Parts: sequence; C-alpha cells; structure tokens
Amino acid sequence: MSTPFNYELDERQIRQLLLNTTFESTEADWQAFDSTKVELEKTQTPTSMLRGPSLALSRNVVMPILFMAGIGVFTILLMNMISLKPKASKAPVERELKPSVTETKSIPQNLQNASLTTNLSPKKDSSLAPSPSVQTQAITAPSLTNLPLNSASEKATLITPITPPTIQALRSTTLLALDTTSNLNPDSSLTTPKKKRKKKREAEVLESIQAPSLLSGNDKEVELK
Amino acid sequence: MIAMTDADLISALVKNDKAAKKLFFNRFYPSLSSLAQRYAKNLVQSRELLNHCLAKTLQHVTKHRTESLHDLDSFVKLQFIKEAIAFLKQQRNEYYVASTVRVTESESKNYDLFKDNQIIDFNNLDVDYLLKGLRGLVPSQRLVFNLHVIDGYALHDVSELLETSEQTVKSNLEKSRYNLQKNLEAFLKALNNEHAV
Repeated sequence: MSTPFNYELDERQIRQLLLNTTFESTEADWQAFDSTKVELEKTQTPTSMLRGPSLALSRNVVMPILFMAGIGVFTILLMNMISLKPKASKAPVERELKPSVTETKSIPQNLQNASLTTNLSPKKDSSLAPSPSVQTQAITAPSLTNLPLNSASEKATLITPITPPTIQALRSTTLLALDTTSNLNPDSSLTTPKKKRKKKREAEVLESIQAPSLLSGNDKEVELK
Repeated sequence: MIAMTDADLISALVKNDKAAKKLFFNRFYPSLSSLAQRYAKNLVQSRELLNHCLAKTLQHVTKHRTESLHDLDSFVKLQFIKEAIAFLKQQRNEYYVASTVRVTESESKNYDLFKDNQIIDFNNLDVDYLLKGLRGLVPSQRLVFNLHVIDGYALHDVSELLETSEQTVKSNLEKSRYNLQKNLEAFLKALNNEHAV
C-alpha cells in the first residue's frame, strides 16, 4: 500500500542554492566556445543571407488564423453554391441586323433611280387609257332641243344628271391608266425596292356639269322605280 | 579586466572584436554554466548546450540595437533560456517521452520512506544532489521546474516559452515536484546507508 505523498522540499532554499551556484570559466572552456561559435557562424552564413525576417509565431497565433482562413473559404464556397441574386438569362441576344456599309452605299443609287422613276410624270397615252377631259366631253349631254322626244320615259332618261359615282369611276380608270404606264417602264421594276411607298397623287377634280332642266315649272319629276 | 559599459560592449561585439567576445564570455559564463547544468540531463549535454546557446545569444546581442538594451544581463539570460529550450526540443526522442516515465538510475522503484524507518532531512541538501535530482527528471518536467521554481517565471510565461497550455505546465510541475523529491530521497537514502556502513 502506497503512502500519501507529502511535498517536503523547500523550494525557496533550492532556488537560492542553485542561483548562487557559479562555475568559473577556464581557458579550455573559452577555446571550446570559440570553436563552437566559429562552426555555428560557418554553418549559418549561407542560410542567413536567404533567411528573411523571423516572425515569432506561436501555436496560439497560427491556429486561430488557420481556422479563420478555413471558415472564410467554406463561406465563400457556400456563397458560390447559393446565389441570392437571380442569374441573368443566358439566352443569346439577337443581333440587330444593320445594313453594312456596302449595302448602304448601293441603296442610295437605287433610291435615286426609284425617285427618278416615281417623279416621272404619268404618260398620257390616248391609246391605253382615255384622258379624263376626253371622257368628260363624251359624257356631256347633247342639247335636248334638237332631239325628237316622243315619250315621257325617254325624256326621263335624258334628264338624269351625271352623278358622283360616275366621276369616281372615271377617276379610278385614269389612275389605272397611270399605273400601267409606270409599270411598263423596265428601269423602275428593276431598281425599285420591295417595299415601295406610293405617293399620294391628287387626282384631277372634275367639275360637275349640270344639265339644263328641260322640265317646265308645272311638270313633276318622274320617280324612278 | 577592462571595465566597459553595456553599450560599449555591444558596439564592440557588433564590430566583431575578439577581446570583447572574450569579455562577454567571461562575464556570463559563471551564471549561464550553472543554468546549463540545471537544464541538461548530464554534464556532456550541459557543455554542449552552454557553448551552442551562448554563441546563439551572442549573435542576438550583436543583431540587437544598443539603445533598446536597458538591461543586458536579463536580455542575455532570457535569450539563453529560449535557446536552451529550443536546443532541448530539437532532441525529440528525449523531449517528447511520456510524462509518466521517470528517469532514474536506481533499479529499486520502492520509495516508501517508512519501510526502513528512515527520516530524511531535506533542509541540508547539497548542490550536487540537487543537480543530480534535476537531471533525473524528464526534460519537459525539468524545464517547467527550472523555469517556474528556480528562474521565477509565472506559469503563463512558462506556457508561452514552451508553447504548451498552462494546464500542461501545471501538470508537469506537479509531476516534477513529486519525481524530484523521490529522486532526492533515493540519493539521500543511499547516502545514509553508506554512512551507516
């Protein structure tokens, strides 16, 4: 059976005893120290040139730094995995089709031709389409005084004035005639672009001609049914 | 011996003056040699430790600026202790042994003082027996006992110097006290037996 331990050493006495102990140096000790010093300087001379500033880093400093670095790296990894911001759509953006310099150069020439063709005044060809003035002359009513009228119905047919629809019809026929003349030009079909804006052309407004009334004041106008 | 101030001595050491080096050696050898004998496990190692650590300390002094050294003695002692710790830690197979192992030359492990009805007086201890008892300790326990009990460093400072936790230092200190007393008891018992015979 072991006895309980009683610490009986007087540490103060031990301390005084050991601190007061000294050993005198001898010449042999100096020689030994000098040789050791020279060897140490020889071994450390090449490395001392390469050695940088010595940092007194203890475990209490290094370990927290390592832990902090590890936590930082882990946080960065998590932040990369979970992105809070919605990512922008990676759909390819359609590039705007812009005409190249060569195309833009060629287009004005065509446009010039087109403008030239569009500026061309419509040819009034009597063979293709009658001029509006000719038709108006044709429509003009003859003098009824020279005509022999037997019945009231014949009179009524003659009395009917030229109505606006007939004028519109004439106007359309003249426009068609103008279009046909423009289409016949070979240069304009080749040079004009696909989308061609048609210029609004003002058609000639023809004055309506009122026929002289043949009826007397007492006669009633016959109703057409 | 030429009387020199600390500043003059350091400036002469910086200039690599051999006389100044010898002066430095003669000035610090007595105290540092006893310190080396306390820290080492035997005389051979103490000599090696003394020469190595003193040379290293001299390098520190020459690198240090003269103006900032207020107390050369304490600076040299601290640097020597640091170098001694590094020197002992370099021998890993000795330093990192299990703390429970007691280094003792005696074959008998029975330290029961009352077995032979012997009363040992610890008040009249000899320096040689004390040094023997210290050398018988494990290096880690020997360092802790020297630093805390003899050189007077606080446990916190000892833990920083040895780069261990304060709890380890406390543990090593208790073990060193126990083992030192047992070692001294063994030596004194042997001495008493010799006198009896």
